[in-house]
Amino acid sequence: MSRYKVKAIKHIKSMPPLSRATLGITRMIADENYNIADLVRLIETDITLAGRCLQSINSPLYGLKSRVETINRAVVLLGARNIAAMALQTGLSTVFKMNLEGYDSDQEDLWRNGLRTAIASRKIMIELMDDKKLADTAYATGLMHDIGKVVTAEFLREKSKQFVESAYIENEGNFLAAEDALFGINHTVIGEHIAKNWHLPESFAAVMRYHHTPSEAPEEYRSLAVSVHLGDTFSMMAGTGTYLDSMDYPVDPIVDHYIKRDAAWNTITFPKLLLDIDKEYQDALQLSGESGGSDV
Amino acid sequence: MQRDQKKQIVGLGGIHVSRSPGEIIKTMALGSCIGVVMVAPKQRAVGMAHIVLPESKIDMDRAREVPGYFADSGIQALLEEFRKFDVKSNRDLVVKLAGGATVMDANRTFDIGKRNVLACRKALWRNHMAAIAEDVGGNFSRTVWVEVNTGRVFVTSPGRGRWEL
Repeated sequence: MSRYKVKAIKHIKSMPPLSRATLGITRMIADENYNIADLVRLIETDITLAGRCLQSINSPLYGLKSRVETINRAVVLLGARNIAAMALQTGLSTVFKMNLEGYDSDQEDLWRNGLRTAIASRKIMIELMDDKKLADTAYATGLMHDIGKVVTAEFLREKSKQFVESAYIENEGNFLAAEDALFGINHTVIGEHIAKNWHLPESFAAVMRYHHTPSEAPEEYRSLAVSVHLGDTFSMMAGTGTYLDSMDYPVDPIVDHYIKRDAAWNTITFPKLLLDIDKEYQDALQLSGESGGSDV
Repeated sequence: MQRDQKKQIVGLGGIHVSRSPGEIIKTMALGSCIGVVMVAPKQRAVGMAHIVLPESKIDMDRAREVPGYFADSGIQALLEEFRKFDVKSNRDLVVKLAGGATVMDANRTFDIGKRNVLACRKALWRNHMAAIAEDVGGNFSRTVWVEVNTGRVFVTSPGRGRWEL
């Protein structure tokens, strides 16, 4: 086993586990037909999570007329799917605000890329792939798809810039291949290990592993991997990447078998999709306490 | 870039024109978006628009709220902003374009970057203008800035260093 694989395993084992509530929410989302009462109970068992969810819900941005005091009431007002997404974001926010120094990335870049990818993946699943059932899983897995970079960022930090650049050039600008060449492992394989170590649902591990190569994903998770693959691509196009590797991943040609395109794709449908993703992302950023646009 | 320079970041759809000495106007990590830079040497004014999508017809309300978002409304709005700085003729303006990167997509299904470049050129032609320099296309992101003092435009890209446009 390569030196980097050993280091990766050690790093993964040292990562703090997800809270019981956060993990429970990922399982509910992956399960598709979850029970609202179970969701409310799960959030309420985690006082910090429940408190932060209520704080967000009561922010003036939601414009609710009266103060919401319970998670149950929040679910009635905003819907179970919105509350599950919010709870997941809240539960993960500290994990995702890690610095990816090795990618020359800003403190919030992993989080912003995850958030925009989540929103884009959900929209792609609904609008281009006609699968509403998988929409929430697309969102949740989109949010977490790049967690493996927490480890590769450490590896990149140790390498000289020249070394990284030459690996990148030798691999024709494909950053995933460059990571493999440099370390014998890449952020998608590491992401899959993290998902397994956290006991996340299988669909999550599959997306972390195949979000750059959905054609290699097991068939049952392939459409999910396609949605996040494109969600991530659109996110990088909008400038919400993790800097060093932004735009450096090829689009897997398999996506053309999964998405529907109409005659107005180039002039209206695709630009409108990107616009709608951006509007939703800017709103979500505001709700998560950032002003957004200025340095995206 | 010197440390004491005041930095104005232009986000998605943003437009900014300045004559403030020492200021730099910057836009970060352009993917398929375009940084349209205009410099008025006589009036010593410098401006930038961060264009996201080609045509405003897909959402006229958005174009009214954030004209800089689209190439057609954005270039018009940037020109109008320069009028406030005594730039009365478009001939007084020097234009440079950067960005419009393309994802590595063999089928070119998602090539909004190229369409952004074409839409910017078209919007400039409509105003009897053309860019004197372009750094567009490719599959890499760019950070672009312009110095108010000098009107010089610089581009950086991860792994590719820094160059002047």
